[in-house]
Amino acid sequence: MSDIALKKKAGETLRRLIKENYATQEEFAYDYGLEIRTVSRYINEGIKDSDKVEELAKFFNVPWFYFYGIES
Amino acid sequence: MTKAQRIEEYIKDCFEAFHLNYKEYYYFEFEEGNPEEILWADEKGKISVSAVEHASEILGISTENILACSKEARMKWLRKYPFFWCVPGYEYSYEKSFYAPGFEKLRLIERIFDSDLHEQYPVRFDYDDVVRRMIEKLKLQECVEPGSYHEGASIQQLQISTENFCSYDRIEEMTTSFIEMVKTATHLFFKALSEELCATEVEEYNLLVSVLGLRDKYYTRGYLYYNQLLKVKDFYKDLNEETFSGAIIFKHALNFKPWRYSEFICNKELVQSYLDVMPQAKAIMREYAMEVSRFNCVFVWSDAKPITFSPEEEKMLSDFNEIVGEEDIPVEQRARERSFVNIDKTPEELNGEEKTAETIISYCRPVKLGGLMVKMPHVDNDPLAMFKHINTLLGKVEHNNYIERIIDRNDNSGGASDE
Repeated sequence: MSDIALKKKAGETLRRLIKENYATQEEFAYDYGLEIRTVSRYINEGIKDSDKVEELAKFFNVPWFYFYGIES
Repeated sequence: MTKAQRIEEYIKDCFEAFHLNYKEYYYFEFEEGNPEEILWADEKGKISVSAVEHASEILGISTENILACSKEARMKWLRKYPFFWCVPGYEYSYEKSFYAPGFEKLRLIERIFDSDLHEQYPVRFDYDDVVRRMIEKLKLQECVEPGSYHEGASIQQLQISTENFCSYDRIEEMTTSFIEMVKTATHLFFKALSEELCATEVEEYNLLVSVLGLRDKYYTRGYLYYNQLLKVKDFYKDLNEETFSGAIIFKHALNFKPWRYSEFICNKELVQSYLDVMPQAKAIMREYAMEVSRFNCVFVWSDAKPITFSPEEEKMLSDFNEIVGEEDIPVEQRARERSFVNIDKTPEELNGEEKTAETIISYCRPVKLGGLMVKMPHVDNDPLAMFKHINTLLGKVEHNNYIERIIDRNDNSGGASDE
């Protein structure tokens, strides 16, 4: 998978995790401490920064590679 | 000592006891060339009545008690809210966490001999080793992110920061007292909207406004002391518990950071009680836990390029400069791009703090994953909410904080405005 595809995959995973755990993206944004436009950017454009992916993985209690579609 | 001097000293002692910076809350006169001097007495040495009245509002102590330098009037609030007694220990515990054993002895010597031994404080971390690891990481990163490492260039303006957990045996008492302050301030705010407060309630409310920084969410120019609130109470009459946080904020409340302290983190019920009054702290706590686990390094490569923006952003910047009457800064004169890199702490550097960090992160997870519940503040869907608040409160709520007074004085003297 290319670099861009990986980053977009991370964004898609984030969208799914938010849907599983929150009623709205605004609730997640508030809980996590992000602006809603940043959340939208992560979901729509992908997450470029691997440090951010790692933080999100800790928050959702999943391994970091889960964000890139790798189950184990 | 004259009576005016005694009163001035009493007022300053009260500000210190309540941990209020009087230069922020109470700024009485401006003198050319000495903008921070506060005039407590007139040319004849008589105490300024308006200065005392203003201090009375901020401190929650009646003018009569201020003029009498009443210690009991001050002690009343210190007894009710042990939060104030706990501040020195709270601050010292945090400061100590950045230093190795030996720090306390040096601080004691400093106090006894009134000296400054700051340069000799034994630091907790080997920062030279952190820099070495940082350079190693940058070299590795160069493989996947070209431009991370600048061969031949030197590292300049390096700043390394981190956070620590610390220990304070009174943090639970301090937090419980803080929660009571927030709840009391909220209760008195609502009570004032519908009925007259008695003198004691007014004093308590005003003190809590000062300590917590209670103000309108959008109107930043003044705190909502009782007399100010009375002028605009109709504007807030429809507020309830649900909508309160959408209109009113406690500007200083997050200066109190109980999540730094392991005794607070270990008490899950207390953490939940705290988040019930400070829901916005949930995200901040999680970020703090992340900060504890790493060193944040910021620096500039000696051959770094000046900061540039996209063509659209450059145009926007240029248009903005034209509006405000500023010249565009040529690219070669701009600041150089900074580099940011995080270095994970080693197990020795963490010294067990990773467990506390993990506990905080578990609290901060979504509720469905076992995290603590917080109430999201009401969001006003009216796009003109900000303008409504400002238009209503402008001219009615006094500009009673330091920054706004500076702005007013600059405006009145025809000087440059910060607005």
